[in-house]
Amino acid sequence: MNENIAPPAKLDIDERIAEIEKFLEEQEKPKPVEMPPQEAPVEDVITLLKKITENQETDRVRYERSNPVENDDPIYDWAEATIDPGQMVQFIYTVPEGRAFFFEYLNVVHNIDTTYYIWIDGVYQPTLSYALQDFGDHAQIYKPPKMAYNKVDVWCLNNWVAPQTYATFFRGFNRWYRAIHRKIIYESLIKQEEQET
Amino acid sequence: MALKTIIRKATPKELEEARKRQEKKNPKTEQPKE
Repeated sequence: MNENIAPPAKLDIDERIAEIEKFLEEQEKPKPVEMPPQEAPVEDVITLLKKITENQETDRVRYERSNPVENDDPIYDWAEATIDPGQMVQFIYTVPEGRAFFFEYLNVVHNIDTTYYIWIDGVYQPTLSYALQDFGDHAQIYKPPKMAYNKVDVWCLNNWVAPQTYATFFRGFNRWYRAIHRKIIYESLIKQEEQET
Repeated sequence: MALKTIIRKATPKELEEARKRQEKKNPKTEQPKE
């Protein structure tokens, strides 16, 4: 007997026919009808919808805090200066009146032996300044953006022996100041409170 | 609104601070006395 050749199958046709008939009988049997899901009470649906809309509103507010939206003015600016040793260059951006400046991105040329100072609204920002220094990253992305209402200063002090060139690039957007303090009123909640009292 | 650029002489206080920072970064090694 060769092991590589499969043994002949023992086929009993009567058994096979019986199996097929049983299968067909099972197929013909009526299946149990699936009932449609019961409807949730109307109050639950309304509270769910309210929650969804309120979540959307908080998401929108959060998005608006960090990203430019309609009617915001995008601000891009760039300046450069070459200074002698012992000199300081000040790049100053003045925010137009009635606007809030959202400071998104700052890039300062990284030179040797330089001290950087960053001021926002006349307040020295040590952490932002040190981040640019020495082995820091000279391209800074502020996420969420820093806010300024008056002006943003970037100072570079050349402490090396030769003149060096500095350039500053920054990006952000200006928003009408009053728009930030817009109050959001949920009419549905007010009505609910009135009904309860 | 354009970016305003001012070039000025650093004050002695600022230079002193920069010098201190420099020294902190690269401390001078003391010469061995003979």
